Amino acid sequence: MDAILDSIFPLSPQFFVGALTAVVMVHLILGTIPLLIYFERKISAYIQDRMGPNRVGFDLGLPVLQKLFRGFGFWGLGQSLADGLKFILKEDYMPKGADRALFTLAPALAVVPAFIGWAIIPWGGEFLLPTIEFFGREWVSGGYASVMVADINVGFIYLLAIASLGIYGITLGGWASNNKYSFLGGLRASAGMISYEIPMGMTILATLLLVGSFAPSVIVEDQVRNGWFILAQPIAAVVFFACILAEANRAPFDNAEAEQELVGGYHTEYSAMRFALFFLAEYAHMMTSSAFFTLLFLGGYHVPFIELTSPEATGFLAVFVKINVFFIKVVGLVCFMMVIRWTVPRIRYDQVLKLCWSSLIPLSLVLVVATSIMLKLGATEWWQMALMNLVLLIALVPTATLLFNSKTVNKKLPMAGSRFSPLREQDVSTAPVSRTALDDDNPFNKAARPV
Amino acid sequence: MPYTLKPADAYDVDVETTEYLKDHVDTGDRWTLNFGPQHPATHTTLRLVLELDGERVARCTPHIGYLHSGFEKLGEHMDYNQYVTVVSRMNYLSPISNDICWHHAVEHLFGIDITTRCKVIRTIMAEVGRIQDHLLNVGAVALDLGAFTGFLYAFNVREKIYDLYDYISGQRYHPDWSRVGGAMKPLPDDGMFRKLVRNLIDKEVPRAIKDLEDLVLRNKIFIDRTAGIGEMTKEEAIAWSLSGPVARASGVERDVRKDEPSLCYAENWDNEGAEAVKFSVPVHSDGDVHARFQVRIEEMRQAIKIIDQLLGDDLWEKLKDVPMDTYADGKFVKPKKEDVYGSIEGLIQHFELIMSNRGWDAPIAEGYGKQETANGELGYYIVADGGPRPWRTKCRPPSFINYQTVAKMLEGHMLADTVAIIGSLNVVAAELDR
Repeated sequence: MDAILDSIFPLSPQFFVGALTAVVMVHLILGTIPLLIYFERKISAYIQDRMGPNRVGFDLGLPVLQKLFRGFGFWGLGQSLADGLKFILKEDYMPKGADRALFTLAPALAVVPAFIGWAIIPWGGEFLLPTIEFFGREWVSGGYASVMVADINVGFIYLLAIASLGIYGITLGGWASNNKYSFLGGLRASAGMISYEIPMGMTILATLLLVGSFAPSVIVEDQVRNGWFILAQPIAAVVFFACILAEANRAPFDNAEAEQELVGGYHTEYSAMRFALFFLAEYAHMMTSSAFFTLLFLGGYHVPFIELTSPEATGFLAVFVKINVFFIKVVGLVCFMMVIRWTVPRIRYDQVLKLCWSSLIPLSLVLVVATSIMLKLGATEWWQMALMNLVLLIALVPTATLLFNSKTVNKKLPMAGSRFSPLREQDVSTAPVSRTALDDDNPFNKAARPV
Repeated sequence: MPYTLKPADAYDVDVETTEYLKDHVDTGDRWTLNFGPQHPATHTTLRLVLELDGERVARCTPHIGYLHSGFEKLGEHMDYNQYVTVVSRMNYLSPISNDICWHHAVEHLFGIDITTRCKVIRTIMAEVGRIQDHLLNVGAVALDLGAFTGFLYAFNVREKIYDLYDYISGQRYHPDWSRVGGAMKPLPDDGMFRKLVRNLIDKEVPRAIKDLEDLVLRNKIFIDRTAGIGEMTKEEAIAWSLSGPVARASGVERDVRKDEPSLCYAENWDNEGAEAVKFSVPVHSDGDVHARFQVRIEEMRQAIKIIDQLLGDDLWEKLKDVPMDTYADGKFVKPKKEDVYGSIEGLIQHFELIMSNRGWDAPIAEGYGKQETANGELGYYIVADGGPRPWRTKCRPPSFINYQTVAKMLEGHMLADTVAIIGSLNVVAAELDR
């Protein structure tokens, strides 16, 4: 027995902290998502001159609990709980002709990638773990450990890999539903998400050129030293934000679930907990994306002028504060996404792709080249990079306007079979076919026509 | 239009097996999408069968009739006052406009000239109805394009308009307020009515319009989604007999209020030389969804201007002693309450009009009365046979006429443009199918 324990313990500090972080953060995030849904309802209500949920408490309509919670409104905080209960109690409907296996698998495939992205988020920087000893055995050896699930060198490559997996759930869900609207939603999602991976990768590249490493902890430390990358690479930040909106299928890029066009898009046929999983995945995806944005552009857990949030502070209190700072940044970004959703109309599907291929990809390519040149010249201060961004913007805006004239976007294309926009060689007549109406001998026609 | 009637058995058509897409071109990669009748963007029960090439609509076949309720037939079983309840269910976005238009047609047929007071209040309410309809429509266009917020900005004000309806008639949604030669009842209080309307046109509606404009009108995404979509040229608009904002957005200068005016839109409407209300008719040259949106916004501003002219103190001082109802000798206008309670003739006449199985002295004639409602020219063709009920009522619904162009507008555009086009036409299926 002792021999077995000796072979396992003491655990390395990184393993112990990583496992602990995984358990704590998964629960924290799962607990935050209902809160985010509540925020979404409240934010949309404030934007739209409404009240939003303000009655629902936690009494679930039970007389016993009603007595317990009497006098507490809880500002409608119980709304998400009530929604969740509703999902559980709804009929789990599967349409006729649906692919049973894929229909069940799709929601899970949507949720999992949204969650495993969390593995490389450095929540609290380094933590000096004291040795954990009891019952006369050293269970965990002391030492420095990153407060993240897996401190891997290829952090951002991992992110790109995970982000691509997210579309499987949506596309398969759309296909398995045996519904044309769902299928269209799935197609839109796959085309859109794959397109937006490219500028996303480019902007990550442009930013990481400044660091020279893919490791998340190094990226944060670099920002602590040289200033947040949103200052050094503002264009990249904006493009990356647009990309994560598209990746998370959020408005104004929510073509895959465009309610007014495709009813519900890929989740039209989903109900009950299957739908709830898609819903959960959307919010988890938003949080993951926001966490990456925070990590890459907003300095991770760092707040300027607060010693407790610098990488050198490794105490328990420092880690606690850092996790909170990180979380506040993430939730703030998610709320910003919500404000965007309730403010702007939806971009049309072809315009989404056009925006990506004809604006964002060239822009991010130019940005990568310009950043490389700046690095070659040795000008890597944040203000020098910001100046480069500004010059780039001033130079590119008129060029882009000249190159990509958006007048042609809404052009009506003649299609074979269309009565009202016939092809050139097509002969379509919309004249009346009734003999009587065309008859020249008809006295009514004669009278009506000017001679 | 000359035509020959075919015998009934000549129409050997089985609806279930008839091939709708006769000119179907099999390019091998087209697929058919059934859009509606149950669909969030088809506003009620419109149905389009779309033949798609990728996301582009190659052919669109609209199917109507899913909300056919026999409204016109009901008109033959109700007297001239009762039918107003059905009429206001046709275009339920601005019910009061339908009420006023129906009784305008009836009064035109009967040759009744309504009192100045009634004219003023009907004009105000017709314009309020126009604002109500346009508010919903501009909001719905924004909603269909994904901007839910714009829809609610517009809808909030409609609540205030419901309050106004509630005040004058006792019902919030379907006021069923007008009657032959007058209204259901006089205003409870002139001052309060003016205050409510004043609040509406000074505060609520301009604020909503400004919010909406700030939110979407100059938004790049909104312009990209609406400009150049569903274009109709001026000639086409005339050829397809479009009316209302859809026609005016294509450059057709046609407005029943100017061309064949009635109520306070006409000169000398109070028989004492009063001028017609001053307003301009907004016309746009683009003819696309964006142009219709702008025309509707501008029409709301003009409606505010019209109402503003009719709320003056001088005018209402003059109207103080003018009754709401016309008390004609004819047997189709309710007598004064004093007469009902004070004289036997008055009581009998009241009884005759209120009891539906009693006689109305309607003429044996037919006539067409029309007014410019929010959607376009709404008209009623009435054939009266002298009995208490019309022999036939035919509605000219602007929704029906405007909806015929949906295939023309849509073919060649994307699937996502379907919702923008349907929204911009402001089709109300209840009015379309009747």
